Amino acid sequence: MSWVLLGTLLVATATLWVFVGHLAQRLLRRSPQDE
Amino acid sequence: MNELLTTVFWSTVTLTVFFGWRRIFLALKHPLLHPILWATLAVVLLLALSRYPVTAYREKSAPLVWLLGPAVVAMAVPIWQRRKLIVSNWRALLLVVALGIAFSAFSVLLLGPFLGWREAKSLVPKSVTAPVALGIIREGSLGRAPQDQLIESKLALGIMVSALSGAVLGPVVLQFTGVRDRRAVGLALGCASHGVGTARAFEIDSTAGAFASLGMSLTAICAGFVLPWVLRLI
Repeated sequence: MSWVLLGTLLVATATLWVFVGHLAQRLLRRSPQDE
Repeated sequence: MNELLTTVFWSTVTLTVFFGWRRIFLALKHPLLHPILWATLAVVLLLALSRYPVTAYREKSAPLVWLLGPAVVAMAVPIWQRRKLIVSNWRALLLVVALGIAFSAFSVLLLGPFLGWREAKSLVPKSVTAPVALGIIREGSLGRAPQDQLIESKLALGIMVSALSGAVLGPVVLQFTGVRDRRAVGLALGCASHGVGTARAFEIDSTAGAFASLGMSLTAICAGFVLPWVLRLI
């Protein structure tokens, strides 16, 4: 059970990285990279 | 061994293990060898082999824990240096953080039929920094009763997995899925993998680090207001 929990937590975290990463990349596309 | 010697001993052991693994990591440059994961496991193994209690280790490594304070404050410096860029994008940043919190909560609640609703609910704040996450489940009417220690330990596991995997796998997964913008990489690591993810983002560069700090802080503030209310409702 704990290995299943570990695996599902990893998948949930990885999908969150990808979701936030792509959303941020899309929304920040038009602004300059850095000052 | 007296108090001072024990403190010096465990602090030295922790630093030696960490910097030893860091040398290996820098030499081989393999993401799976990141010291944050292996140094943690090595210290846990040493504690288990020496049968030294974790609570006592925490007390004896207090000087290292104290350093966390200035380190967190230092994370604000790159944010201040990029304040114009951040202010000009405040709508986008808030939207990313808000949707990130919603996505994180929803993805964990989807596991309810498999893990049990109470367990799934306890994992809702797993992507929030630990002190705030524990406060969220207590305010959300979970983890208050003595029998709810299991709920807190599940959340602690969730927080650890989010953090350690962020350091080891986060940048690799983001690069593999086409996230190249350093600000987006930073936000993803900060919003999903809090402090450890932020430290990893600073290893990429200071822009990724600044956006990770911002993502972690905004996530903690917004989730602290919203998630207790959501947990009481569901």
